[in-house]
Amino acid sequence: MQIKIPISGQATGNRKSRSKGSSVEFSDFREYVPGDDFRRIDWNAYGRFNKLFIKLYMEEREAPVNIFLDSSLSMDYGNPNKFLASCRLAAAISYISLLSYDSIYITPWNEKVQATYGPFRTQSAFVQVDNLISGFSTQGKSNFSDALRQMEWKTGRGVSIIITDGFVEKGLEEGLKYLKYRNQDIFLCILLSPEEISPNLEGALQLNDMETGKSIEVTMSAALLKAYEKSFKQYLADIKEKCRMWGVHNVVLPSDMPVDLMVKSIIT
Amino acid sequence: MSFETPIGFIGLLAIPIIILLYILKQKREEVTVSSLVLWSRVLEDMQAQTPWQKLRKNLLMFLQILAAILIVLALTGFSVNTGNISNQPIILVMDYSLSMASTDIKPTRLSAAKKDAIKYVDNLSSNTPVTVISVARQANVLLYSSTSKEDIKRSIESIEQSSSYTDRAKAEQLVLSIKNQQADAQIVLFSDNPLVFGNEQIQYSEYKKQTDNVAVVNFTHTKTSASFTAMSVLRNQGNSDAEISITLYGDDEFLDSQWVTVPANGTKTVWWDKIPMTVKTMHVNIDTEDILLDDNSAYKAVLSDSQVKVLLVTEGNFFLEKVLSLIEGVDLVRTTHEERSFSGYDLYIFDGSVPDILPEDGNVVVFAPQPNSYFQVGDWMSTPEISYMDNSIFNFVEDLSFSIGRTRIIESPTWAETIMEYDGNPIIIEGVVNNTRILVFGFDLYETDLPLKTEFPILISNIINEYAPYSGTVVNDAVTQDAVQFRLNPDTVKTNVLLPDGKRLQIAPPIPPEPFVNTNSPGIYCLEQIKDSGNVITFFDINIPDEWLMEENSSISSMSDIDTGYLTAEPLRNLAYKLTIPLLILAMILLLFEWWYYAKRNYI
Repeated sequence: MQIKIPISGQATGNRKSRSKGSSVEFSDFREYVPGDDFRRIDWNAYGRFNKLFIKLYMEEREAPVNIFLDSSLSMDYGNPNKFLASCRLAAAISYISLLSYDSIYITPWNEKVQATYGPFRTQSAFVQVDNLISGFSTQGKSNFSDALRQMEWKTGRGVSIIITDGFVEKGLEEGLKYLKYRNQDIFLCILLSPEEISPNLEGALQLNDMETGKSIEVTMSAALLKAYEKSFKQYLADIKEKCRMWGVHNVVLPSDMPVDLMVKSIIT
Repeated sequence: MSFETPIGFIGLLAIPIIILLYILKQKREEVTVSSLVLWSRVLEDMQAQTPWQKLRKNLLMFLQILAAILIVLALTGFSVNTGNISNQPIILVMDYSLSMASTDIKPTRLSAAKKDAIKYVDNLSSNTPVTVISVARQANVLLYSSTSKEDIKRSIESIEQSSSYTDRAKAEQLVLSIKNQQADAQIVLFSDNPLVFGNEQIQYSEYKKQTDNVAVVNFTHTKTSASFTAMSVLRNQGNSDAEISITLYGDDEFLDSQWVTVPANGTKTVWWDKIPMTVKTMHVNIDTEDILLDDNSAYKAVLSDSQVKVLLVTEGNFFLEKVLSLIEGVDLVRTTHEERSFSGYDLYIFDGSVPDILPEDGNVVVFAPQPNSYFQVGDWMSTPEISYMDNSIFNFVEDLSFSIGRTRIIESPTWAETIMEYDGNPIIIEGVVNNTRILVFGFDLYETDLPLKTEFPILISNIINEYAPYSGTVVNDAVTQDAVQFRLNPDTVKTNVLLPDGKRLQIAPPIPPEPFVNTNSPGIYCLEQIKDSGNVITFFDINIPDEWLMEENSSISSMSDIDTGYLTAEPLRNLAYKLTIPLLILAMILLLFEWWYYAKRNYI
């Protein structure tokens, strides 16, 4: 995953690092000083400039990818089910990261972090990752900041990919700020079901919040649905604006989108 | 405004039911959503945009309550008076004749009419000038063009039931005279019979539910050889035959009773015979009750059979002597002109002379007078063409036609009235001098063909009846509210009248007395003449008039001749505009609006 970040990890990964190391990808020249590895002397440069220069290369380092998977009750909704789609997305991101020799950490959260799983480093670890993700389930309310603060932070700088429906009762904003504090390059994936994007409800209804248990009475009408649509767009726009302010990447993904397109939306 | 069917108010029970339905929670389908975050935001946005959301939440309930109220008002027959929206003057005519005492409308027709009239006045706009007229035997303006509702209502309430008929001619005359002064006035009549006032349109409120009434319309008697025979005539105003019981009383003692059937809209004559000659008063009463009790009784004072002592002063008058001797009850004594002092008789007939001093104890009739100190007697006048005035001595002889060869020209004195004249010159005069009544014929019977006429004995009999002392107190066929003029005996000092309710009223002096008008109650009245020579008691009767006959006779024309298009014969209740249809339409509109509102709008 192409993200510009300074690398703090020591393991060699597939991520370009600013540190100039011994990889094969040429980076720059500098004058030879006694003690340098003479095998790195660029003889072509000597022949041109009659001076000794050594080649410098982009040293590739491991970048930890933290996948924060929203596993609150609100994720267990929709057709296709949001949690299922988010698990698939998490698995796809994991696979791509492992292919890139990134280490991944998977953290399911609701109002607290249940556990942080990883690091998973090699391709062969994907089976483990898949089995792990398959075992996740939804429960409880969502409070992202509280969850992060309780978490045992195992990595330094890295990429944090948050897969959520955005209906975080509390703490999404604070959580993102916390991640920023933790020098994370943040991707916020808002994953929503078609029913949430465009509700198809009629009549006099009592809407029950599956996460909080609260309810309200509404009588559906064209005007009400129009107001919902407007509110929905405004809600997403607010999130987008805040993400922009904090340098957070964000994307809105419907749960019925094929996972490859989801990934493509994220990586491009 | 009024409510024709107040029971419709029971529909107001729908209002608490409507409220209860709104209090109880509406059953809604429960739908689980992932989160109410967005829905709550929608709710907040909508409530922020429309501050009156709380009111709109209840708006449908209020609309339904309003629709329920409108339907209830329609069910109650809510109506508003449209009789007089502007300040159009009103001539309010109240019939208070005898028939308005009928109880087919409770408590009586008149009470109900007064109540409705007051309600009608209440519904008038303020500043509406109202003239209140009461009509019965007399027509009276009780209040003229008043805008004070209190005064108008007070004048209506002051109307008391009359025991007489409606004189239609008088009613029409008075109402039209008021209408002439207020050309744009509306005539509003409260009565049990439509009255006609010229060609004027009237608004008429009728008070007549049924006509089941039998009345005693005539009661008279005659003397047979050893007893009295009485006749009573009953009139049935109803539409079906009436079987009734009628009882005869003599001097308030039971005499006889009969069951009779009176045909619908017809009359029945009931005879009573073998009535003892000793009774002085008679009374019949219908025992079967009907809607009007006042006309169920009739009274009769028995005629006095005392002799009239007549002194004929003449040198010889075969005709007078013969006819006077034939008249029953006349005790005739004849004398000549040489007689100078006259007393001890009831009636003095002077043929060809006038006494220097009139008798004080009897009345006087003079034929062919000589010059005297009581009136001027002029020359003879030849072959006059006579013209009659209305007088009781010409009763039953209105078609009498006779010739006079010559007659004295009499200068009518101030105390006399002319009852026959020729070319402005009195031929027959009558008057009162010193309490003595005088009747003067200017002609000599021998110089006319009057004695040869078949009407002559009737004329003389009328004279005897009119001028005999008892005749002054005979009241024939008087009905309630009649004014009775008594001609008292010349030597009467004081006179009282005893009313049927026992009250005693002094009517003389002054002599002659004023017309006696306290005849509102039917029954037997007693006339008590107090004289130095002894008191004289006579009875007379006052009865309820035959209202049907009297009103027919008082009409200018028959009701059947009148185009009923002149009458807006709608009961006043129809003048109020019933709002049933407009109210139901309004309720329908509200319900349609509610449906549209529910379907198209939204509320949370």
